[in-house]
Amino acid sequence: MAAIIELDQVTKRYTSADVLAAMSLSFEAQQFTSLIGQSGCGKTTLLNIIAGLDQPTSGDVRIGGAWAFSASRGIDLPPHKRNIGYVFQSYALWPHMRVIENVAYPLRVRGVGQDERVKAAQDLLDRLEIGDLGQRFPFELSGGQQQRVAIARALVHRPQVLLLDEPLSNLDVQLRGRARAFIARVHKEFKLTTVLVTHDHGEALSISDRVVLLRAGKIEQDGSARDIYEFPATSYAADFVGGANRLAAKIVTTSNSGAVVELADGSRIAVAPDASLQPGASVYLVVRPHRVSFAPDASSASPSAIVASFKTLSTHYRGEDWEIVGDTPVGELHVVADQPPVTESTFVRIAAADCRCLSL
Amino acid sequence: MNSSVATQDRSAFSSFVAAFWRSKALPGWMFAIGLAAFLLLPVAPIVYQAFLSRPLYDPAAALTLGNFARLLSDADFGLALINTALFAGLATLIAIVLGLAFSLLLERVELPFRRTLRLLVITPLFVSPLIMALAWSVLYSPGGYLAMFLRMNFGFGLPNLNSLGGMGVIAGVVQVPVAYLFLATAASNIPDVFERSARASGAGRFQVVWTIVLPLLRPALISCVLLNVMLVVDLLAVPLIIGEPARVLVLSTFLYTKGAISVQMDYGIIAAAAVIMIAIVQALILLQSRFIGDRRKYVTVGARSSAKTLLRTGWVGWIVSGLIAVYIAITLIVPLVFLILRSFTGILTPLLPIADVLTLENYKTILGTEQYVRSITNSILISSVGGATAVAFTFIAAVFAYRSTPGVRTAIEQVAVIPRAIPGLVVGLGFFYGMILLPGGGYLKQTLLILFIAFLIRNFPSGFGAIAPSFIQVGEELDRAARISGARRWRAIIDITLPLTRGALLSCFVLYFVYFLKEYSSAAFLFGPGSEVIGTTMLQLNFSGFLGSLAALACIELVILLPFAAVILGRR
Repeated sequence: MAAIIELDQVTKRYTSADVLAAMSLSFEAQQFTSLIGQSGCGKTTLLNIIAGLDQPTSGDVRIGGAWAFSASRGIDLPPHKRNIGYVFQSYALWPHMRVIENVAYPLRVRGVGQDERVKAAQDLLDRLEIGDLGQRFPFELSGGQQQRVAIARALVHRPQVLLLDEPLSNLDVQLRGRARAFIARVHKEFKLTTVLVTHDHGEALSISDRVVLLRAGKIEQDGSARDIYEFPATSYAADFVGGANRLAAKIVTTSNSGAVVELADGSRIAVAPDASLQPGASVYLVVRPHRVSFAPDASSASPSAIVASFKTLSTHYRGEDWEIVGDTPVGELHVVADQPPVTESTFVRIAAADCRCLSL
Repeated sequence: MNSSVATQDRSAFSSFVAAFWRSKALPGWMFAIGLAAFLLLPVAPIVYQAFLSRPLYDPAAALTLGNFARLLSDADFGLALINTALFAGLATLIAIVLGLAFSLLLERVELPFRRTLRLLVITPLFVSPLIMALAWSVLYSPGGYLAMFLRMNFGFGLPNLNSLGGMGVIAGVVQVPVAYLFLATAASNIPDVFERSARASGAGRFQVVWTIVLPLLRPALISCVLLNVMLVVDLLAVPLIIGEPARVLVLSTFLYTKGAISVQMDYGIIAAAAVIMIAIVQALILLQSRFIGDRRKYVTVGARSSAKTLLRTGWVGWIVSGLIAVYIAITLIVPLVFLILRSFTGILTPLLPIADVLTLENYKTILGTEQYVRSITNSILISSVGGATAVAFTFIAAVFAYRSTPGVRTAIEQVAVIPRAIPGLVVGLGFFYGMILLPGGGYLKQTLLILFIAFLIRNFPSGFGAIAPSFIQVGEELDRAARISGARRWRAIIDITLPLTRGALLSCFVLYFVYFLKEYSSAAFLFGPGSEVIGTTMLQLNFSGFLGSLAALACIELVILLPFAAVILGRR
């Protein structure tokens, strides 16, 4: 597939810090990509650079094969010439224009005649099932309706790229599921190359073909939603995407078949091999909370699983399951289970297959 | 080695320059620098003249400190300095105490007729201090109606208004609306949660004011004191109309009498006095930042302010409202009524029944004299056409400030308030000198254009302040959404920003109209035959002692201002 957006060595520097550090990234046609990361990681800056609302300090940007920005060539295509659809976090619907005028505006500035553009806007509103809202003003709409109008406005001029900046963060929690499904439907129907920025990993995992995790202006991990969750590349990625227990450990031996690591309490376990790890290196043993199980006693310990005593510190009922925080000789552990342990002091079992051994 | 470091430096520098060029901040920075130069325009010739041995048009002029030496040995100047300090001190004290009381009472206590009282308290904003001083003079001065009436019927008069104390009281009353608005705005920015949490912690109604509201208002109070001192130091009308008969000289009258109406002008000494006036204002600003210290202590971001719950009162409220109403009657309404009466009489005195002295003569004089009529049409021209031009200019400044980079925004916001620190008299004087220096200045001098520029510089901080909040409120995303949709930069501004800030632009126009019409102090140095405005004509009529005509002209100004004041007041 052809790359629609290509970023090459894009750096954005403010007086001292690099918001983006020599980032190279490309987005393929019709692909739905989520950019995730903590606030300040550079994800919105990246989106604005694609849109032309922000200029990189150095690097190149190509959209649809054409130059959008190049520091060395002195190219900077202004935003209105980039043919992009952008849904802002606040939706940015113009309060002095009716819905139909908002949606028809991109056609208006492109010189499309009144009748034609109103018809196009109305058709699109109908397609997005908000055809009856055309004559309303933005303040008369609910959050979910505003979002649909903002999406309609971003689509009406048939852009080659759709950019979404935290589109769900302004909605009530109950509405988010529907809005998310709506965005997925729009993507399926219009087949646009889509880039979504969010800090909510759940949102990203559920909707995207591809997830790019950013951290302090660099790419921490880039892969399919499943890859990111199942095979986090770093302990940061594991923790940010879905939450994870990080147990401090040390490599004892390595071989082709795997590595043996030693935990804080001296217990040892054999994990999957990782060529980069040397004996003596400090690592994290990363395990998802729902992969930890309670055990009645210490008898099930083996080279392929560790069992540790567990003293409950706090118990949280979460509706469909329980989260239990407890103290173990290998460190503090979060456990997600269908039932809380019967006694305050018990044992937990962690299978080696559920652990990933990651450098600090 | 060294050369490679140097090349590296140079390439780092050139890439910085290239990035700067691309960042689109350049036009914004150029505008900010241009704006600063424009607003500082009047100061340069004054500072230059202050250090010259002869008038700046004289080629034999040399650099010297002699002007300051002569100024400081001038007994009049020393006296003026002391009087200015006392005058500004008293006026500021009155303005702050009353302004604070009104802001606490009218903004947070459930008083009968609260809305009406609030509007009346700020009404003096629309009345030129020239008119206020005149109205008070007609009623309360030793020769005024009330003073004479009391002396005739009860054997005692009023304390002499034509004194430093009298000047201080009027100036204080003139400044009350400024102090009130300033403090009320600051108080409304204090989030309600702070007070609620104090109440929840066990503080009573008055304890909350004392322990939470006032301490949080401290920076605003200090800024407000400073602002008032600056405005009073710059006030010419009150010292001229109230102080001059008693020969009480202050800085502003010193500058005016020596610089504008004296036959033999001593350029050097006037410029030196103006420089000292600027220095005093700068020192006050410095003092303010020292006093307030770390502003973060007072930052109340985060907590959102909500509609404040008003304190309920019973009969006490009626008494408080009554007292405020009496204050408004004494300071504003009765004096204005007597001013209007004065304009319809040949002489106004309790010795003669008013019915016997009623006449339209004053209005006939004003409307029958070409020069006076011209000053009215000139004023309206500057206020309307000039006001609209000023709005356009201010809008462009706001676009550069709020649709550019954060650096440019900060720069323009800082630059925009420069004229606050330049007394109006100095603006007039500076242009007066500047026109002498400038080739072709003689032609510009005494035109309406130069008056308009002086008025714009004087009032730019207020105009910018009227537009800026709406730009912040409208937010850049709406504009950016239009850019993404395919609109060019200025197309986006015209389609989105302009309609959304329309209300603020209208307010800004009304503000400029009112302020331009009221302006007199900067015009005092700049007008000439053909470019008179109402303010300068009033100064001349006062100088010649034609009080009846002066009252008539003041009433005409009030009538012109009335609809505009109503627009502003109606919006509140």
